Amino acid sequence: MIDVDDLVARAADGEEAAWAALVDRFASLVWSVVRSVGLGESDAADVSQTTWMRLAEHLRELKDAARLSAWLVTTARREAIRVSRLGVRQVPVDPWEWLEHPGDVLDGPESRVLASERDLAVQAAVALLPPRCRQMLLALAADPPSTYAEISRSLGVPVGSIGPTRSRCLDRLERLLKEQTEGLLDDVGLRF
Amino acid sequence: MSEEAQLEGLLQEALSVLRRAEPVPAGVLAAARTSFGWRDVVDAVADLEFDSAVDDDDLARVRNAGSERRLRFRATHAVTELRVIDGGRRLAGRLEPPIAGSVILRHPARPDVTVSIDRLGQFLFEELPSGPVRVVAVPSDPHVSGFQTEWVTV
Repeated sequence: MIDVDDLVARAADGEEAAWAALVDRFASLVWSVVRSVGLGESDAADVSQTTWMRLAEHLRELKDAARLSAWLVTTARREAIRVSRLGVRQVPVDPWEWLEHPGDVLDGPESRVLASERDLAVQAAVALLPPRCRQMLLALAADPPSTYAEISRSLGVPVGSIGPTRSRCLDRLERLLKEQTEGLLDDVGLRF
Repeated sequence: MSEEAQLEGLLQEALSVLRRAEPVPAGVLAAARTSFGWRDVVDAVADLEFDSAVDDDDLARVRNAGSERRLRFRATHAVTELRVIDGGRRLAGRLEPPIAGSVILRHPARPDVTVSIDRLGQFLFEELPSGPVRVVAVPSDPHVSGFQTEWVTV
């Protein structure tokens, strides 16, 4: 998580490269949040940009960069809900119904929204992984998945060390996922 | 389940999430990058404290369905009220307390539009583009500090 703390601090000081690195890591999380509220692509694009515009001015207040993902999820979701409420737009799933009565919709068609909560926590955890672990996961998720030889070349590590790196990365992912699941529940679940 | 099998399950889940995630459109990614250039940490930011789109109760929402959207922003010493009118085409606003000066409508893909504030603190933007917007209050008295609303999607 150290490097994300560092990116937030450097972006707060005005360093554009640090901002670009934050966008690379978290753009997919923000996009998933906005789309899971049910917005079409054009509205989702507007909400995504509003979220990033706000973040640019809130970097200094994010004293704990570990909360960055929760801040992004909360801000993007609230803004998406505003836009979804404007009346002219299509919302396949009523997010308020879920936010107000999550238990009621567990078994309904909306369970895909609940499932996506877990997806968001996984995405947030992946975004917080150290660069090497993140690259490895993205390489494995590629279609077709990268081979160990390809991963070895792109990460610049010997093939023999990929196995141990992979285990360390999975340990890390497990811890981050636990933290993120709790963090997202605290920040997003209770504050709505 | 052994710890190893558990971690293997986690890996498969993470890979499946990453594969299912919709790719972020290139334009959305570019807009997120350029958002950094819009940050303005000089003027105080008025926080959004009321939005009829989500804060009206059900009855009020039904009554006002299809009409205007009302937004209220609060800075330390001032309140900005905005009304999105004419089906989202125009933006009317009012500053409380009224100040002498002008207001700027800011949008990341449009040039700034400036209009003056009348004696009652009211102003009107005749064209409201959709997307992220913010209103910046610029007092004509340089000793009075300006402020701006936070970004909001209209």
